[in-house]
Amino acid sequence: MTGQISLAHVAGPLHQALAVIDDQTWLFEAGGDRRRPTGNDIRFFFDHGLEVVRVASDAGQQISIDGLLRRLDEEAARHDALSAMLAGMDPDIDAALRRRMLRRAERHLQQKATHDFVARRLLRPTSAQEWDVQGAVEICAEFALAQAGRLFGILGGATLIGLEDEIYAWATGEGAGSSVAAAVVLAKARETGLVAAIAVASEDGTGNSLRNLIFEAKPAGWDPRLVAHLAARAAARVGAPLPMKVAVAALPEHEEGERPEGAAALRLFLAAELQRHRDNARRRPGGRRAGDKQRPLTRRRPDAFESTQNQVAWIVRRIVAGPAAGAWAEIEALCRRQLREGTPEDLAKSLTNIATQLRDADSSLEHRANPDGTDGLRSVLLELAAMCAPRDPFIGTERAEGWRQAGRLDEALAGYDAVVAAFPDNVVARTGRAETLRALGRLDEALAAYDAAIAAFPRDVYARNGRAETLRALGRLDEALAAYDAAVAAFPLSLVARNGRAGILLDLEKPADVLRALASVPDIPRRREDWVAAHIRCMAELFTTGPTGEAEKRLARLEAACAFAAQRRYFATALAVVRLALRRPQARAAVEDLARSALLPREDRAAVHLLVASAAAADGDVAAARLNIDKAGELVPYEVFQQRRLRQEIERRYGLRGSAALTSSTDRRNSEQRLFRLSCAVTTEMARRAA
Amino acid sequence: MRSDLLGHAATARQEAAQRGTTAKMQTLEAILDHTVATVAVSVLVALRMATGDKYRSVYEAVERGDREVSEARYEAHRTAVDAKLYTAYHRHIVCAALSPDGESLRNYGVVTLVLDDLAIRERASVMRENAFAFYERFTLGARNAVEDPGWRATWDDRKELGVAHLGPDITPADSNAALAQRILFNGPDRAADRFMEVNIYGGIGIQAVGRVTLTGTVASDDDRDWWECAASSLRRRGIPVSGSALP
Repeated sequence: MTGQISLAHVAGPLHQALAVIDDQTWLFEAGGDRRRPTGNDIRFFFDHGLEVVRVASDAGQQISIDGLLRRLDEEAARHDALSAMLAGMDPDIDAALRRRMLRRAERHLQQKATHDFVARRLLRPTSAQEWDVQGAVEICAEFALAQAGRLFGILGGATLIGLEDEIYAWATGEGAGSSVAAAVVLAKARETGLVAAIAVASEDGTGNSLRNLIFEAKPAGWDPRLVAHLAARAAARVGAPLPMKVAVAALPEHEEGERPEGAAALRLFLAAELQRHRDNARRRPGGRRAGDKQRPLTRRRPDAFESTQNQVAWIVRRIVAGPAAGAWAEIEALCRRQLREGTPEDLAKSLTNIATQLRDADSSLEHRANPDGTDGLRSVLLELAAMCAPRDPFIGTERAEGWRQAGRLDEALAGYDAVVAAFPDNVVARTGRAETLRALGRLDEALAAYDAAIAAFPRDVYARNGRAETLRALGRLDEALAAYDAAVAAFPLSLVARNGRAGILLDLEKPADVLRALASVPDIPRRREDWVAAHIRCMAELFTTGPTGEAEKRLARLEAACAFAAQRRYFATALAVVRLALRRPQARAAVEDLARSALLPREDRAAVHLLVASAAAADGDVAAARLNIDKAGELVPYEVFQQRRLRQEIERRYGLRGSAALTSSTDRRNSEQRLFRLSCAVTTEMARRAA
Repeated sequence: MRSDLLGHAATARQEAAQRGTTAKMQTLEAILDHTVATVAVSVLVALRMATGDKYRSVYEAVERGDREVSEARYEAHRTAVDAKLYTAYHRHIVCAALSPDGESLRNYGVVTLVLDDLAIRERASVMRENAFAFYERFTLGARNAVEDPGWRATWDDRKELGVAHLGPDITPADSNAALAQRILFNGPDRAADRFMEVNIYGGIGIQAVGRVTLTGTVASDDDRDWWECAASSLRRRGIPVSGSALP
């Protein structure tokens, strides 16, 4: 057929196109069939083809019949994939049919355009009652459907809700006048695919996709400032600082002249502001006076909390993306705003909050903009916070915790001691002090501190878990197990306690008990802590079976299905352990690459060094083994348990500490098995720490 | 006009009495009493109708402003028949076939939707034949041409229309099956189909569907899977489904 198309529409869901050709209407089916349509055809086309797309009109675009058919096939494939994904998570549909549908969806999803389309439509908060996302994830894992599994992983995880919350908060902070206006911003972000794009890009774990989002693909309708905001937040979550810089760079230039001159200027400014605020409060009718316990009259907006949180997050991002000096103006703006809308105590909380988030960022990012970290800046922030609220114990505990995580353990202990002395009933300070003692290796004192904390605060699960971990570090594994037993009994909902207990069982080489303890964890979990549990269970199975090809496949499948970037890395590491044990080509090089990866937080890099050490030991490379143990020790000086175990194992194996050298082939096999098990324990430890 | 319709039916009954086919006429009337409206659609149309509510949040496209204009333009290019027969409201009409046994016009689709009597009785009318044949019978293409009155009926009067239209053709040799085939006959192609057309105002949604049957052969594996999805959704809504997609 030839002729001029003057009008054409495509309805992807129906796999049909309508076209007016030489003044006659034709209906095309995907695949090439064509006929004159009935009235019903046209009505169903527009009634049920909700996705009708105009592809040509006599006013503008021209399209050939071949072009129309190509477009029809594309639209049909997109909707085919979307429908198949929906059917795949529809609990009312037969399981075998769901599997077929998901395999079909996976084929379509190999096309990027189709993938993007499906992601845009599918990735929105979903009713758990109506859809069986978990079931779909399991099917995808079973058949190694990576693309579909990843989308379902996002759909079933917390990312989407978090993103939408962020957009809502951003819109509110940017002056959306009402909840309706903020909802419009959210709807636009959803419909234009921004939400889906950020969610999917966050999943690659490197931040490259996020960067591409900003530089290479800017679909019409995306607010560049919102893109930058979301990309930066997402990049912070996946531990990829570069896109944060990019995101900040995408924003309008900061006016250099407005920046105050560092901490000293801000300190002076805040002192003056606080004085003025107190004067105003005294003058204000109903305001606070000396000895008056009434709160001052404030002009706090109902959405002030979310908006302030947003501002805090933005400041953290600016500082992490660096240079830190660029954030002073924002901090000053925050101070002005909170003193205007709230109280100095509120401002103290925000400043402490920034310091806390910076500490978390410092501990998880290797290549931050400021190579020295943010220690100095955090100190200033906490000092300013103390000016605002001198009696807030949280400021003191935050300062001490920062020192502890920076490895300045003596200062941390002194800081905690001071808070405990001033606020003996502050449980955070008590458990923080005990934790610091444990990190110092003063394990008996740590244990006593935990015991005292538990006696004073029997309902504090952190103290219970910390005590169990201290017993573990002391090598008193049976007592550690009993402590975890008690914690699990007292706090049956504490997943950290459950996972900690499972970890001890693994230390005790009781894989069957681990499997029993974690029997209720789904094969393909949804919650982060359950992924940790799934990982521990996997390791327990490896203890029993040893490294096998089957285990390798299973770990690869779980890695593909895991929706959380951090947990996915642990499965990747566990997979590396198995491949090392199976002597797969390049396996050791891959693990060594992993140890050098900038994506891993410091503690995890230490753990990977332990893996390299065990691999080197298995190869008989004792020097490399010791070197890597030392590197692990440098990175995390206060985590000694696994290092000590591995060192002892290597020394035992090679007769380096007076014990008999292991020379017979049988002993060698046993020793390798032990090393393998130890490697499993190391990856378990990594996953537990992440939770 | 209803009086014209009743007059045509009375005439048909008198002729039947003269030709000795009264018994057959009574059988035809009994069949007509139980006729239903059926629409044949493709598997994908059935799927979209069946899953529309549940999948709406995902399929809810941003409404396009020119949709009605576009639809009207395709209609305008398609035919003048609808505009003549349903002047001013033709865009609101969905066509169905009057069916003696739940069969539909297979040349239009492999899935048969049997419409619920209650859902359409207030808004459906019946023509003695399909719109094109009706148009040509009365040469409605001519300027100022009008149809003879009494050859359309309300849903409740469809039996009278059937008697008036089909009564003169029945013979003493007609079996019950042959009588049913006079109401709806599936030919080898659309042009050879014979049926009485039901016009339903306001379109049809899944709420108007009382039963669904797969009446044709599903050619591809894809369509088989889509049919199973549609059937599953329909059953979930309490709509009886029959017919297997398996060859």
